Amino acid sequence: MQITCRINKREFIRDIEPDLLLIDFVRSLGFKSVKRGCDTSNCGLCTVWVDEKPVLSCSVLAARVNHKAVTTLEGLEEEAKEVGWFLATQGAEQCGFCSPGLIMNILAMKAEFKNPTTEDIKQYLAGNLCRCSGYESQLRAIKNYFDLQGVAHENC
Amino acid sequence: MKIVNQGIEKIDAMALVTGKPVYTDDLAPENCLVVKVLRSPHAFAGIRDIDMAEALKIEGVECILTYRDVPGNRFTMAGQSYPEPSPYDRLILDQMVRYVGDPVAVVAGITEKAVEKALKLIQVSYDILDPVLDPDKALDHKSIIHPEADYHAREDIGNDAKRNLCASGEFLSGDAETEFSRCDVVVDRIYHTKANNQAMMETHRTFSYLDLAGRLVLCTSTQVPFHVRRIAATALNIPQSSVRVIKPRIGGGFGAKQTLVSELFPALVTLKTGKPAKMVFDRAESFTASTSRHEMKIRVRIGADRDGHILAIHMDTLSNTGAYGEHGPTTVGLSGHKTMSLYNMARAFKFTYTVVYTNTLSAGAYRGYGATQGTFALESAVNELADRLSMDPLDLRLKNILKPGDSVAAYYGETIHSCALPACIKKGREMIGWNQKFPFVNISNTKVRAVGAAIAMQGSG
Repeated sequence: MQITCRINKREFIRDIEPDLLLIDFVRSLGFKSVKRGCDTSNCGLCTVWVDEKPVLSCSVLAARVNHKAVTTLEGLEEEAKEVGWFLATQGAEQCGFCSPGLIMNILAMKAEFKNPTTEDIKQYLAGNLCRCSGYESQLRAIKNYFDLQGVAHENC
Repeated sequence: MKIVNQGIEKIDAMALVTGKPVYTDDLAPENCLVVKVLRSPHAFAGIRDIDMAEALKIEGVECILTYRDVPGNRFTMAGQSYPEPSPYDRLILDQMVRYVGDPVAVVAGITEKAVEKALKLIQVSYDILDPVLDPDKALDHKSIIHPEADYHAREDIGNDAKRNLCASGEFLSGDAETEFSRCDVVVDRIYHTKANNQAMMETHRTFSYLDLAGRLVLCTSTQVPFHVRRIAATALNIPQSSVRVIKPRIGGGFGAKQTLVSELFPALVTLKTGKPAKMVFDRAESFTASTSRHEMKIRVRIGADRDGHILAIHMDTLSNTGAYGEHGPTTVGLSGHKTMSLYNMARAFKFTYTVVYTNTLSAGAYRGYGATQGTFALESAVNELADRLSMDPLDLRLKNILKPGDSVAAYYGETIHSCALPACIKKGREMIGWNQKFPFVNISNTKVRAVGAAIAMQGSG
């Protein structure tokens, strides 16, 4: 079947198999920031945006993005560098494999929340697993990024 | 201080956080053959026949390889230096399968769909054997997991494959039994730790191709690239000079990648076909067909006089190495040496161990490398000893732990040059509010909140 979509503001028209997953579609087009971690919709590594909303690309058929706009981390390079700097200064990008999916969701959270509390952050990112960090360094980095020192430090 | 106490950004930090293609699967050529493995549904069986006629008819299938297609050199996949303590007990594909998940056939094809279809059409008939599943019953079980004539250990590890014994040994310092007879209190317990998975986010994966000089290139997610080179050469029966290994950025390892896992299957396909090949483990495969932490049953005997002077410790470890001996003879040592050494004031130490084969997933390396299991056992026993002596468990430890300048009896007589453990215990006691909380505080009529303590050491650097 043929689909037309925009990925990172560039138009793609492709013939695809009906059962092709979005993660395999975008990776085959060279957007390798999108990672597969769990096969079971649990880890958040494959997070991309479809029409600005975060989705798990391992659990969405490529056919569903027909006439939609997909964003991967490659399309958000400047924003990724900004968030990434906060992660890096806390050592929260240890192996780095979960960083792209996490940053996609941090940026999505930023669009939804002006001043997220610690609980907001924990709830929003509950679907982004990391095996290296234990999450403390990520939480510090995210709070620094939101410049929330002193505003939301309960339960940290 | 310009460097010490300053954060340093990693040189690859920006590449990682901007999602640059730096991991194995990001770098694989698009034209790689897809490689997958048919795995044994039986814990222990001999392969009588493999019928792949129907599978080979699938369009896009390049080759199906079985035990008939691999070199006969036995080897170990443990990434360890000369002379390699883990026994040579593996082939890439063997006629005998030893756990549920052991590879039976390697299928390579142009698309994942073709390969998956072919996997379903391969007909295997097995002679099912009686499996050994309980490590307590493994030694001298009537089923011998490694009866093969060319099985061999490369050094003296107390090995006897005919008894399902991967390794065994004994360490003595002082006269433990005499010291136990002098103790006022002796705690004698068995602690059982399970086989855990390392669960790094990036599963096992490797791609392979022949370079311009005909050399086999393995690009693989590994922690041990130099060992991969040597082991692949042995397993594939080619010179080391014909193998090049590239280790890109890896998405976590935690010891799982201290053993070869996915490497040899695409390597074999590339050597047979001359074509690039790639294998990516799915998550289920990473759990069921890689390596785990060694399950251990550790008996601890620890005795003290009534003043809390520990006089003797005996640890007896039974370690389950699973179907293959990867890291089996070495991890077990840490369960005793890295733990008893902390209580250097004791007069006698005894450490005995048995590492057995069973028909379960092979164990391997995993953070702590055996020390983790031993720490849980000994530290639990020390806490029980403190309870029996009616002593504060931190005070009991402070009374018995090693100090700088000590010759550490249970650590091969090595001298410890620095040790800040008493200061750590003191600081930890303050930070957690130990004196107010030990052993517990009542939270409500039905709940208490308790604190507990353990100490540990590990090598580094």
